[in-house]
Amino acid sequence: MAQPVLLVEDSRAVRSFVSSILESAGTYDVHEVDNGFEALRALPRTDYALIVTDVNMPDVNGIELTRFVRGQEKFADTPVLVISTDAAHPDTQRAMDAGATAFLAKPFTAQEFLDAVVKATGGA
Amino acid sequence: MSEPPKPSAEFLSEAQEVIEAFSRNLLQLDAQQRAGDYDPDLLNAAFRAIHSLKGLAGLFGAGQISSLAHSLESTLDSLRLGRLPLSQQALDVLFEAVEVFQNMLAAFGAEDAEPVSPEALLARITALSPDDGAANGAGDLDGLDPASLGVLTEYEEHRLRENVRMGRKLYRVHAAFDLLAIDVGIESLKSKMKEFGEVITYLPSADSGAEDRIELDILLGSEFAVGEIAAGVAEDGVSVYPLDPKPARESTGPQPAASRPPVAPVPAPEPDPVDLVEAGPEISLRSISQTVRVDLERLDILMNLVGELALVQANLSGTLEAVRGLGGAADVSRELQTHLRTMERKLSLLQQGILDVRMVPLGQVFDKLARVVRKLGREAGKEIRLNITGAETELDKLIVEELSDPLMHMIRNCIDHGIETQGERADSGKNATGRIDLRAFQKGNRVIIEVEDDGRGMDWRAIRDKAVSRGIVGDLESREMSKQEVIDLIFVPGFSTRDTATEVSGRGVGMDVVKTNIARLSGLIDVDTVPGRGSKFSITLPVTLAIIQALVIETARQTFCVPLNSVLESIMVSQADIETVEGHEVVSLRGKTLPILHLSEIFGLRASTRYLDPARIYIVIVGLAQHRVGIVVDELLGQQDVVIKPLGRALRGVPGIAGATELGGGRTVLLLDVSVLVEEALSRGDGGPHDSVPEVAHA
Repeated sequence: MAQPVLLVEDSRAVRSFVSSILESAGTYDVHEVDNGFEALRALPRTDYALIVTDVNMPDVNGIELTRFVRGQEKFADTPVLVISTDAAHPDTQRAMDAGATAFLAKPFTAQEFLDAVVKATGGA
Repeated sequence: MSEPPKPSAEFLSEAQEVIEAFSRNLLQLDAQQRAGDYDPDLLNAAFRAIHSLKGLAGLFGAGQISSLAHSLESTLDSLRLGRLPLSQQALDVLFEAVEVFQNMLAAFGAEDAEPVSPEALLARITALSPDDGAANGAGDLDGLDPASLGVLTEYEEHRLRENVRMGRKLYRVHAAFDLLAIDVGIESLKSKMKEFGEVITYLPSADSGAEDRIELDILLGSEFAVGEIAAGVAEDGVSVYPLDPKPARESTGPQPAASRPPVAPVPAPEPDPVDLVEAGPEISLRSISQTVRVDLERLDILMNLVGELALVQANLSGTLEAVRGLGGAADVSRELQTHLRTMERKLSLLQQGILDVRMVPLGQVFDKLARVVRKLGREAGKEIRLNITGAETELDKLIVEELSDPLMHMIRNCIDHGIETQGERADSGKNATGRIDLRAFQKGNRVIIEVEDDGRGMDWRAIRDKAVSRGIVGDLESREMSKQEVIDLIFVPGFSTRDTATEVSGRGVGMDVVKTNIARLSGLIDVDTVPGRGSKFSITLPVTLAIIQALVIETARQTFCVPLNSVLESIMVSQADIETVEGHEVVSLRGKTLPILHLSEIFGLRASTRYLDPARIYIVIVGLAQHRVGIVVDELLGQQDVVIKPLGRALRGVPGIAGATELGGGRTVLLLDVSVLVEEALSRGDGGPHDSVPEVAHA
């Protein structure tokens, strides 16, 4: 049974890249959304096994989304993998403080991404 | 699987979109900066565009684009965080980046492209960089809950401080939404809030108790009082609380602080379940995007299928007629007729639907032109204002792409030759700022694009002298020409080759190339000019090229189609009206001399008679750019929508034939290339071999 993954990313091409990595790994069922509001809509409907989110998005940013996710009982332990361009940016630290499980800097290769996913999900 | 993904069309198209969006942001910012104040949201949008581009390019192995985006991102970050002022110099650099990115993208997409060197731009970016110690001008946020500050991005926190610094008050707008309708609800609330100030961010509340609802706290900076805002955003489930930047007694939670009761709170009503409930979770969750990108080739396949279906339908009608001729089964025939009519209507809707999908707004090209005007204006030291109207006018994608070069050249001409220097303008009592108007509008099934400047206009005498000195027309001949005919000489090859190519219009491309490009799109170009007042070029284009309305004609027992958008009118003359001037046949039409052509001569067809009926000769007048030519035809068979198909190998090299199409009954019919026919009429050699004596027609 494939595990449901929520992917929140406003770039179409990045979304499709990440999605194809996860899909080709074979064990994930990816649900893509392009903004924070859509993510809020999606969250109550599915018990996601993993949430992958960009940080810099308009309106509801990835930090806020992470904090929201952490406040939900059913997602209290769900891994949140934050993807952004700059590890040194203050926003990255804020995402971690808000409860993100791991951070991966863009650009990354497919292998690097999969490694990060495995690590975030506890070596599943 | 560690290799980077291949440079997919998806990457290229998204990167292109991002750069275009960035460019539009810059154009707006430029206008606002000149007016003295700009919207921080625009600057943030510009930052986000480059930020996205950086991530995108990095993932797809476009290292050069990614690293330029990285440099630019820091600059934009400083700009949006107020560490660097948004000056015209800064905008210059940003605009230059748009061009460099586009060149890089083009080079990335092509195998043998010349590498783009960004060094000069990088140096200019570095020169802009602020001192790290530059003051932030921060406002005091002491009263705010640190927990809520922690989830803001650095930029959002900066905007909060900025709002405080500007003397605005901060508010928390609390709203609850039905999850299914959150996008609609947010949009409506957002536009109301923007009337009152700046929306800084949206904080979703962790627990609303209900699975299908979500609560949000929205941070708003505003100079209005809480009561005014509450009345203005009045909506079900929305309440407004002031955020006092004085020490707060309790942290912000989902419930309001007891000492600051909400103003005008409205009890949350039942969410409006209409519309969305029926859709079910699958559909509503999957509707991420409302757009699909389609390769034009796939649309062409559909278009051809529709064309073929139209033929099947015509054949069915023919069969029906045959059945009727046999007599009997009148009921069945009638029923069949009804079905056929319905099918015809639906087919035409389908055809229109596919055509609509191919349509894109001209704004894409206009944005590019706006950048050119800004850049060239600054380089030439001329202040120029570009007014764009009708950017939303839609044309077939292929046409829009082909229009870019001709329009660019016309704009360059306006700036280089049309608009005077500021000094000259002042001397002639004009506003120092020159004006270029770029207008597009639809008129019937055509789109008109006008490029008008308020510059020096064109002096027809100067054009005549230049044309004579370049040997384009003889001195005597030129004196017989009307003013408009003289002005039209600017479209003749060889006229606009300049002695010294200027930086601006450079490249030695003249209006003749513009005319040729427009003609290739079945378009017409006209010019209207008043010395001292300016010039106006008008381009008339068909809305699409894939399906055209054609006039079906017969001559020398051959059927041809003429694109109806090149046909100006059809007239009937008698042989007595036809004169021979210098070996060429002409007729006089409303005081103008119209050259006439025989297709049988051009295509070497055997014609038994020159005129089928010397008393009733049909002439179809076609126009291309500023030229008009008459084509002699034996019969006008009617008008029809035809789907253009590419020519087979055998006919591809035949001048004068643009394509083929099928008419009812499976007949393949050739489509005339009007531009070639017009050229032929204009260039017909000396001596005129065609002055044969007309034969007398036999009935």
